Amino acid sequence: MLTRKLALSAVVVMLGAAACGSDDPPPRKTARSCKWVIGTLGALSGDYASIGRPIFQGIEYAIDEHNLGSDLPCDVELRAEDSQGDSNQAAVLARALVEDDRLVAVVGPYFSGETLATGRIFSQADIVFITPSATGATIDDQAFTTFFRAVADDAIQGEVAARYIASLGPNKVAVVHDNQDYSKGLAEAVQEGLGDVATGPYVIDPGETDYSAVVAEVAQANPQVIFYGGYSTQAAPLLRQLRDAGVKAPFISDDGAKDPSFGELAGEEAAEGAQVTCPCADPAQIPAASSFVEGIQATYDRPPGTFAADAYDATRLIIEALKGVDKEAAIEDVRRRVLRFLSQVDGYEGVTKTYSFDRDGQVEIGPEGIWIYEWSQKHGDFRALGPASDLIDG
Amino acid sequence: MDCNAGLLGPTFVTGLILGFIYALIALGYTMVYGVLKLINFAHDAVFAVGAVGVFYIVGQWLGLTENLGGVALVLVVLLALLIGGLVSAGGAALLERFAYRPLRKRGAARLAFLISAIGASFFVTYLLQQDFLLGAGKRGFPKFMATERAFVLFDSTVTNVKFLTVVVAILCLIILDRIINQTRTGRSIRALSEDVVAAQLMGVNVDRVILTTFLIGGFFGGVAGSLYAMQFGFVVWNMGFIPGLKAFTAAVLGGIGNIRGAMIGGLLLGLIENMSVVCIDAEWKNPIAFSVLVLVLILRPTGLLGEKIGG
Amino acid sequence: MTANNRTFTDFLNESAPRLAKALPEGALKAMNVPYRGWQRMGLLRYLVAIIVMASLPILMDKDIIPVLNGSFGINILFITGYWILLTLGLSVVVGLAGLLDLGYVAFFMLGAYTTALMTDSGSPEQFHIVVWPTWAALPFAVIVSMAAGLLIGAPTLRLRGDYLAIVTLGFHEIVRQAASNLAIVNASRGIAAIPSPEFNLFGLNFEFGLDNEYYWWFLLIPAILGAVIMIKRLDHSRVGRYWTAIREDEVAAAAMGVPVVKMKLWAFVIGASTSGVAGWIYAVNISYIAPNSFPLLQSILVLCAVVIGGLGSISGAVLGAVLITTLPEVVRQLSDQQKIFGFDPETGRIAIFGLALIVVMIYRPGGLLAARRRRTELSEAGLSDAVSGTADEPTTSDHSTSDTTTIDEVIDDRPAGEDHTH
Repeated sequence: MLTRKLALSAVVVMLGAAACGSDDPPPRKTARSCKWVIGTLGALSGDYASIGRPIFQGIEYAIDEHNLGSDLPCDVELRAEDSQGDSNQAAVLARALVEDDRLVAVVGPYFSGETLATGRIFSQADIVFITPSATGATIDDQAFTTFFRAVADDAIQGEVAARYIASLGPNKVAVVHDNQDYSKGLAEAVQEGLGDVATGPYVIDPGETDYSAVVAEVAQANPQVIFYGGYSTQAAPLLRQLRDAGVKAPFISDDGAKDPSFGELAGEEAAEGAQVTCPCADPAQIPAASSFVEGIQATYDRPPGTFAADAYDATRLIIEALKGVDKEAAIEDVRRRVLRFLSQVDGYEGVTKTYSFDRDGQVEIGPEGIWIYEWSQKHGDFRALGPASDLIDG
Repeated sequence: MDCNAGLLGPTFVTGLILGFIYALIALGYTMVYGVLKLINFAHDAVFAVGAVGVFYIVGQWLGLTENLGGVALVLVVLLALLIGGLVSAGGAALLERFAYRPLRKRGAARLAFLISAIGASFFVTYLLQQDFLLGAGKRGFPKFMATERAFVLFDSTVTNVKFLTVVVAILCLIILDRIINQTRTGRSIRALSEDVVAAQLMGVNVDRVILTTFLIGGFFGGVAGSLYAMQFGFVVWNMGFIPGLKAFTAAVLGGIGNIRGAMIGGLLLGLIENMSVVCIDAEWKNPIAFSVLVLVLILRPTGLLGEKIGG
Repeated sequence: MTANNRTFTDFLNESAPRLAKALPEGALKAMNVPYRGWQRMGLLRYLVAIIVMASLPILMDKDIIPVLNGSFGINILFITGYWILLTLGLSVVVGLAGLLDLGYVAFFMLGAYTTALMTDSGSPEQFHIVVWPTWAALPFAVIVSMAAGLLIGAPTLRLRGDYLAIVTLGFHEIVRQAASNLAIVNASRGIAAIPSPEFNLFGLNFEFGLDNEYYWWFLLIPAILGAVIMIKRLDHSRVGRYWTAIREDEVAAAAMGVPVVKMKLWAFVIGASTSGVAGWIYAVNISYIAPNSFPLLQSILVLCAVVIGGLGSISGAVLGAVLITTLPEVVRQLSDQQKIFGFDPETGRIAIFGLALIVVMIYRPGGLLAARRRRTELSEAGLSDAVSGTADEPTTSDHSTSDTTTIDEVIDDRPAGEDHTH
């Protein structure tokens, strides 16, 4: 623990110094005697690190930014646990977090499987866990008492994706997925939304590299649009193989495929024009979010990635909940207070959306929360086309 | 079991192409098995290091990442295959030297070899996963060869890279067949696989022949790895695992230790897999491939062509 | 001491066969072989083991044990505990009977799935007819795991060792992929909300949950001790001697009348039994399982643990489990998730364990804590090795009739290059 504390205080000092210029000594608040910990749990390394890192940056940035001008009686510290996206590991680390008697709330876990494996642990400990990215629709059924979700779930995303695809006017859509929980749920929602227009689902094996048989099936079906439910690590090679086989139909995928490495893996020509749906607004397109975008860019030397803004908002919500809490308060009371705050929050203005949660802890958001992005080789990343609702109408 | 008749043609072609890759990798298992009577569990890692070698040497050091054409393209492709083959051959030699030879000298039992090989495979694979090497994600392979449609066969588009894969695989198989059956080295390898003691008495240098076997098997594994990465456009730390398992199945199917058997087994397995996707369901592709393996092992443990290494 | 000693020993001796009624006939026979090892080994060791094991969670709870403290430490202890069950089981298969099983975690997975499907009202509807109490699922989890051992063992155990390895590896993948494909087990979505057990004793209600994590560990102590006793007794019985004979020299064993295939099958089945228990306790503890919770890597890691700890050695199996599960957690906490010489603590450990397998095989084939009755097959050159090489040949797999194998044929077949020339 010691090294982490040192590292963090160093970061805070540096940030403070940077913010205040070099002339006057930074007006550092005297070290407060107490400390509150916000935990986070997700894939910070391993196969899914490219998904986890932007989320983590959003959280870290929110806390560092807050600590520069904190008006809370206690320091807020981030405690990060790296599950690598593995739900077994997440269950172990959740216990480590719960064990921390300064922990006030958790921003995470990042994936649905992890959330299912850890929800009971957080719920029983009465600790709020707010996920900025686990979109699995089955989490709501588990009756986790302290669960909150800051984004729209896959049921909404699938429905909107289907409507968006239908608005393109195809008479045949091939639905493909990789048989993992997330991918399958989303693909099924899309297929249902499309009705008779959809064919499939065609299933690939995520462990494989050669999708030639499925590509041949899709090629034979000769669809006008292809929807793929899954992650970029399969989506991009699949797109490449489809194009190699002469399948020219537009390729639409989901937030799991929204990854800057998409272009490299799919190949430049194949990637160009590929679209993804995502329950994440692009903060760069929202004027009110400009300081957040600039801050992330300055700190991490890259624009905010997928779900960074939602993670930032989730963290800000927790910090907001801590306002007015007495420094002497027992940790259980602090935790309960965060829970009450989130249950009652009504129209909190976040970076990209406003927050109110329903009784299941789901942020109240409709189809306008789903955005469409398109790969642009010139930018080397996905670029926002706008909210799906605008595109469908237009 | 309702096979989509319209798909039989295209999947036949794609299955065949996949089968050639399997056959190339299967050679490595078969060569080592032929002389040592041991399954080289670390051959999947050997396959991967070849592709990773090309990724680093051609992509990162030489920086040949632009689409090339004409003579330059031919030279670079040959260079890439050669580098892949040599890196893998080196890897296989190291494997023999450090994971196998000490055990051979001690006369350890089969179990020890297997465990040591599994250790080597996981060591290399997870070393590749560390951030100072490839890291966790897939990495784009240098694209010096633009993918273009070469021709259409049975409604299936065959790209230039796939065509190259088939040509190289056939060439490699013919060359290897010649080496084994017509050269002095090949004779030593055959002798060793027949009878170690007799081979020694006839003046065969056992250590050297075994090393040669690993080098040859590794070389073809590396060529296969480079072709694989060129075709699919990326390298990844665990890229050897599934193809290795499949190639092993292919080797057993054709008769492990038998070089022509490896080729037949590879093609058969590629076809079975792709046909199963068309006739049953893609999710069941791997369970079906493994079930074929189990059935072959139980019903005909020596494979289709038997275990004799020479033709 | 003597009087008490004897009664307790008698009690154990009486209850062990009863316990073994669930075991197959061969194992039962073996249990009845008079065994005087109890007195020699001393109950003292068991008592000390129990006291140490029982006090660990208390020390952790009081934060006396550094790093692994509180419920986090107790949870690590729990994980290590069910891993010990896994390593003990695999140690029977690989260490005692000499069969390389690369898909051992498939049995664990089957145990966990059986539990989840029987007890969880959230499992798919086909299983809704009766929702079983958590405890009732335990014997079924064990039986399903053992039956799976029988099922995969029966057709494949005639194969030579390296083929067996690849088939078991394939078995793991088949089971895992079947679970991800079959809608009747919720496919890749997995099963959530598996209930935890409750336990009523003299009006006291013990509810297993997250509030009192150490209950779980106290559930594991008898399971581990039971497994240890079972394995020790089997090892010292006729079955154990058969296993030794098969592992040493299958041809000779067959010639001496050892029912080779049958005994190999026992090894598989008995090895699978502990993983059934582990699967049950894992499922009811974590409450959410999915096919992705059982990657192939886990099978390999269990093998690493057994080999590094010491094949066929009980203390080795325990040490192995600790090295694979506890050590990385400690390192992770101490290193504060920083990289260690560029190695990621989670994935880097696998590279290091892989290397350790090679090193152990070359320099210390018996493992770190080698079994006392460590035999020759991993360490010494000699005829018996070469024989065990051929013994696996499929053509001669039915050894009861293959007594024509000559020494010359045998020598031909050993791994080449065992230098006679140097």
